[in-house]
Amino acid sequence: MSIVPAFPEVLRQILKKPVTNLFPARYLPKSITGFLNKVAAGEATINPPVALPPNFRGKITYDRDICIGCKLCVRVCPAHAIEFLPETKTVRIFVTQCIFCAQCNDVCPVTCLHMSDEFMLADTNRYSENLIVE
Amino acid sequence: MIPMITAAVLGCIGIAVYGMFFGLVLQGVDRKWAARMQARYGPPLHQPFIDIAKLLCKDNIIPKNAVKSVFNAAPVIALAASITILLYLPIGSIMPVLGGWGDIILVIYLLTVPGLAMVAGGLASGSPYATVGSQREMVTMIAYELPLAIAVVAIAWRLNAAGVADPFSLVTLAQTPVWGLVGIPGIIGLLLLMLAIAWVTPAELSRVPCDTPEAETELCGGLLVEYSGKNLALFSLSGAVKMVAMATLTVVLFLPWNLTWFIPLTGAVGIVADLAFFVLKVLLVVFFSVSLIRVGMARFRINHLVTFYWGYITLIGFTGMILLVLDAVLGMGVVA
Repeated sequence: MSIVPAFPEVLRQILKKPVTNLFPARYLPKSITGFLNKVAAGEATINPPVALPPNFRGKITYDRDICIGCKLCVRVCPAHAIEFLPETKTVRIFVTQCIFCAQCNDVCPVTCLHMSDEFMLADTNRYSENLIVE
Repeated sequence: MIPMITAAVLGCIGIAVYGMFFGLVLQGVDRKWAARMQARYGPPLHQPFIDIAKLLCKDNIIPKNAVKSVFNAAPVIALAASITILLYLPIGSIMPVLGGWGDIILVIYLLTVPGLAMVAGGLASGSPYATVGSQREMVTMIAYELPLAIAVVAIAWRLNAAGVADPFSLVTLAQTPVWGLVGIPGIIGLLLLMLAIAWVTPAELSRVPCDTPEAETELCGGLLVEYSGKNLALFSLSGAVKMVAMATLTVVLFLPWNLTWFIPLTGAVGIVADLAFFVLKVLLVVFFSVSLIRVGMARFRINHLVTFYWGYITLIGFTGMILLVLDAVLGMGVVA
């Protein structure tokens, strides 16, 4: 079958389970927001997204109780996404600015910064509560 | 005379609706199959309907330097011609509406009309891309007509040699499976002809690997580059109807069996059973000669396309024809 090498392969693939992950729903709903509202109301179920790989770098988390205010993360941040707050000696991280490099995680002497699994960060307001970590 | 005309008119309307509906369903099934072969889920089955509905809602944009009359007439002619083909083709055990007025030679000629309309529309749209596409479409048509004609003529000749009256009539073809009339060389010949027809189908429908005239990546859609809105919807519908016509033609030529020939069913039940069986056969044809070929291959370059059809497919067709002739000459199978 060297003339049409793809034929056996595609015929084999027709029997396999498709690899596409149908997120968030099997087919495009009439209205995405309507669908999400339905999901919130428990009337519809969302198809789960692809399982996250280990060491996934999602939205940053910050434990302000452990933080010693050393400003190392502010210095190391290549995107200048971290702001130091002198009055509380803590930091504020702007997630829209963050490039998810996790260098601050590595440099933090008390490991109060972590990358979470959360990645659904779309928002209309870049200063919304969800996108500023304090 | 009057009831006959009424029946014909009603039949035409019915066939038009059936052709468009079934064609779009076939396209949906084809997209689903293609998706599965590429390990995707694919769009919902009714996606072609959504697409057509969307196109029908949109405005027609006519380019400034287009020949307006031809540009607008081409899609209508293409769709009308595609539906006309269906009027001559039997559907399951339902005999063609205009079966008494035309034969398979007429069908072959009619099959070129949508293509010619597309060529005219492309040349009239005043775009260099469309012009190149039209020229390619003409070359493609020249390339695939010969194997198609060979297959049809060979089968009709063999039927004639077996003493079947009126071998070119579609009613005859649909009621006499040629497989039962031939010996071993004839069966090999018929298999070869079937292979040739299976390869002619994608060329006839301008699907991959023979979508050289449209060639999205090089010609931005070629023939159809300037078409939009309702005109494009008519062209898509014509393509869908043509898919039904080509698949039905293959079924009539090579798989004409009906369920009622084997299981004694009468009346409406028999007709429905035959229709279901017919749909199954059409789906089989579409799977092999549209979906599989289009997923498994890349687009031909125009010179490859001509070499492929004039060289290899015609050769396969000729071999099949010679085997059928030998079959009759050597007296194998049924000879009158």
